[in-house]
Amino acid sequence: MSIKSATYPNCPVFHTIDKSWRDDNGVTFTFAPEHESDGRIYVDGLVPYIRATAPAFLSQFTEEARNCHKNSHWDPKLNRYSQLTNWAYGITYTSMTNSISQMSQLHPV
Amino acid sequence: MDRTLSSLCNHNIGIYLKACDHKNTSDVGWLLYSARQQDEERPTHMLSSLTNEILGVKWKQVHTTEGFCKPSADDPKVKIFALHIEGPTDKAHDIQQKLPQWYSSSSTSFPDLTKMRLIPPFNTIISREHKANFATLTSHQEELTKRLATTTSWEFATNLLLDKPSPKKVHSDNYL
Repeated sequence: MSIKSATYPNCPVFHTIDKSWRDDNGVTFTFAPEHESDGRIYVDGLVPYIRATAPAFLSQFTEEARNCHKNSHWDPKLNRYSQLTNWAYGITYTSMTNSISQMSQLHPV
Repeated sequence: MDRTLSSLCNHNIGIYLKACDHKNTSDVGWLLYSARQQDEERPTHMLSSLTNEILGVKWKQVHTTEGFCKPSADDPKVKIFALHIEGPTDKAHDIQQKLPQWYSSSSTSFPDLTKMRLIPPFNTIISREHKANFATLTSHQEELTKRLATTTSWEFATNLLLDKPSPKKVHSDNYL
């Protein structure tokens, strides 16, 4: 709730944060349309934001969420998170394995 | 009795729990700028602990003294909803005196950081000017509830109770 808007510095991004109705797992965030882009960025990148600002509270998140954002980091200047996706490594890895398999086909031991 | 049971089974009538369990309850007011997405239990506990009185908070229509008119297709009435506070009748006045500390128009810090404004029930307002403001404020509430955007996150852990150390382990550590 103390997260301030980038466009309106005196206003908090979120209007309310509460447990979802009839849902034990969900937490609903409400925000005015002026803060919609900021709000959605903060909710999407909540784990990297908390890791950058108050890492003690990371235990409040599910293991899955923490794993999912393992490679993400929060940029305080841009106020958004960036994700070092595995796809680059994935392509490198697959291309390497492909080339190895091709090589092994060309030069069978 | 049979008729009541059949009406209950057919969902013609329903049973709704009262907001608070007092013999006589009175309206304390409405919290404007509240949202439907707020969990009613949380403000109930928070306001009860702040005022040291058992209060009830529910999402209800903002009533005026206009009286009930059957809605017609020609003149559909706009229903405006907000979080409604009710408390024991004998202490309603005291509660109305206490709550503006946090939710008056001049307050800038809020107990749970959610900006809300308390307005008293319409029938308790004497000033004509304030009665006119009542309509303006409720229209603001309607505008806000229409415009509010929401998003839900399922990344929060809810099984934190399981993460606590088992009593046996704590006991053995203390023993050692």
